Amino acid sequence: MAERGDVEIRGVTKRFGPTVAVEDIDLTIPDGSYCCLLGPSGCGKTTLLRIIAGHEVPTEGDVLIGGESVIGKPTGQRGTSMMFQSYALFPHLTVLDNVAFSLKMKGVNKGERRERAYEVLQRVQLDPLADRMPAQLSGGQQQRVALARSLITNPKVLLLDEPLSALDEFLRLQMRAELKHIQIDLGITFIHVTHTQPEALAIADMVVVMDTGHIEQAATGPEIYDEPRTTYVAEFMGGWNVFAGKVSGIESNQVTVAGAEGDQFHLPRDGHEVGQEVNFGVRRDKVHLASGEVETDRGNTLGGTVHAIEYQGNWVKLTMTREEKRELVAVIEDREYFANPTKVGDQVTVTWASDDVRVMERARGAQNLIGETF
Amino acid sequence: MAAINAIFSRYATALQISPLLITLLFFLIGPVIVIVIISLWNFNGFMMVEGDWTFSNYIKLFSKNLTLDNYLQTLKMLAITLAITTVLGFTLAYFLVFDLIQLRTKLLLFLLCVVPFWTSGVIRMVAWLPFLGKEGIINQAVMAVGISDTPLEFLLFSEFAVFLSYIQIFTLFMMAPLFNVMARINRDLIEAAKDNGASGLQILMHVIIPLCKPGLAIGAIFVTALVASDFTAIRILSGAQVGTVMASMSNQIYNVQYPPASASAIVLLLAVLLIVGMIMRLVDVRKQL
Repeated sequence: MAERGDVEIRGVTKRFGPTVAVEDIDLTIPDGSYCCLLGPSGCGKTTLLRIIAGHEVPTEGDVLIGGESVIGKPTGQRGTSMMFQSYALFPHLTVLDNVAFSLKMKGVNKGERRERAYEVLQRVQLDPLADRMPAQLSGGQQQRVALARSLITNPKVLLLDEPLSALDEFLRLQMRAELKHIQIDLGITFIHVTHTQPEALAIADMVVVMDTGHIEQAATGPEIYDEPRTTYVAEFMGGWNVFAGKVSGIESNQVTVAGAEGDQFHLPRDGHEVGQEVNFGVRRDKVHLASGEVETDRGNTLGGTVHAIEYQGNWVKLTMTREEKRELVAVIEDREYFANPTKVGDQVTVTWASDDVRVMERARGAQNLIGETF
Repeated sequence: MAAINAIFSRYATALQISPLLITLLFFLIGPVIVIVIISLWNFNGFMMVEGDWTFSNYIKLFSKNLTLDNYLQTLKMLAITLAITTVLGFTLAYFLVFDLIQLRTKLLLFLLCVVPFWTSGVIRMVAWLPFLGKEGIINQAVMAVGISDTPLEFLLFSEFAVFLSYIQIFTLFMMAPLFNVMARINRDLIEAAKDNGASGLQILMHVIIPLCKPGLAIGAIFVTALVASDFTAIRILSGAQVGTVMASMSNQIYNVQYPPASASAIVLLLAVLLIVGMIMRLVDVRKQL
């Protein structure tokens, strides 16, 4: 079994007949980190997880755990353990016997087996339910059993396939914190597949955003959120207004971009050339409502009609429509908004600083994504 | 109208269960009662004497050595048939469920297993004759290849022929419930077992077989009932060399000895119920129904 739990994926491709599930993936996950594979359904994140676990054999490429290639190594001998989305508890075995299953397979005697399983159950606070059958447990309890059954194998890498998706909101937040806690406590690598952006941002040291079998960006949560590499990442993570245009003028410290829809934008200067096509965006919370006279010193202004106002407690989400152009969302701090409130149908102008504009690569394919999570 | 509605609502439950109740009364409980009554009527050696109540049929049955021999023979045939149909049925069901990927292939092969049931039981037995007979296909082949100079005698009119026919027909009754329970096993369980370091054999022993228990039990109940109640295969294929409970009972029926035959039937029924009860005690079948 590998001593270290760093996972290196080299040029991994997996095809199912003519369908490509993941294509030429390169990824290094450091030892002891909490990594989230994030993407919409069908993006290949679960396939990648199953390849690491050994439940799928990659068509091409290599997987190294702790510096050792594990291709061809059986699932149970890679130092990995997988927690299934369905929990996959053995319905004919008690909670204790479920947890002790791997020890039984190794031929550990009954007394020691039960003792060690009991210890792990205590860790997930399920020891009072040791003699129940899985069907008698709630979803949250079943998940803890699945976690205990994985932890008892002393994995270097714990693989979690959408572990929180079957839980209700309250349990999800509780379990999410607990998973992170256990990961820090054990110091092992966690690879967690999810399609929920806030989940990934909240717990991961490393977020890997995937789309149609490719990695769009692999970085820390703040980097992914604040510096999305592509328009896909910005739109999938949500919280961004994304635009495209052509560079029309270059000044000393900024460039002017003519938007595809006849708007003018100002971006920080960064080696652009006139005529070059650029994709860029601004975070919703960097967009402000211009009060009275337009504050042009912020660099960018756009006018439109207020389409919707959603009060969210400490902030207000304002959606602005602009005749046959892309709509724009501003997330405004509650005090700032209520100092100068608007109502649906009002004509407003929004502004943002050119320094808050981020240039990004264009997404690989035409994506229909809803970045409405925030 | 209102009065009718009131009656309907008062007896709604009774009315809802009545079709099943009536069917069971007429076709199961009624006939059993009739058999019990006849088994208690005297048989004077030539004919039954209606209304002459006696336990003599049971006393005679239990005092004959032949009865014990018949039961031992039946139990032996049941044990061997159960063992072989379980292994075959499990293997076939496993192949259909886990080795085949396409649902269409699975269903097609499953249907193929049902083909023998398109004809009557007697024809299925008779169909073995040209295969197993002295001048049958197998013996001709055996002699042509030179394995033996004389025809193999054990093939037909023997215990072997009866087993062959039992296994051919009853394997399906073992396979179908096993197929049903196996198809319901969540594939994640097998992967989870692999993840926990289980080998192929360990997955079979600790995951698949335990989860197949209800199917094994239902299949075993089917096979028990079928073997215990068969007399056509015995009659056609055994060459009068095999004496089972059913064989002797059918002889009594042919000889119009209804009271002893009825007593024998009641004892056999209790024996089969005993076996079924033991199977049900071992496995909770209700989980899969």
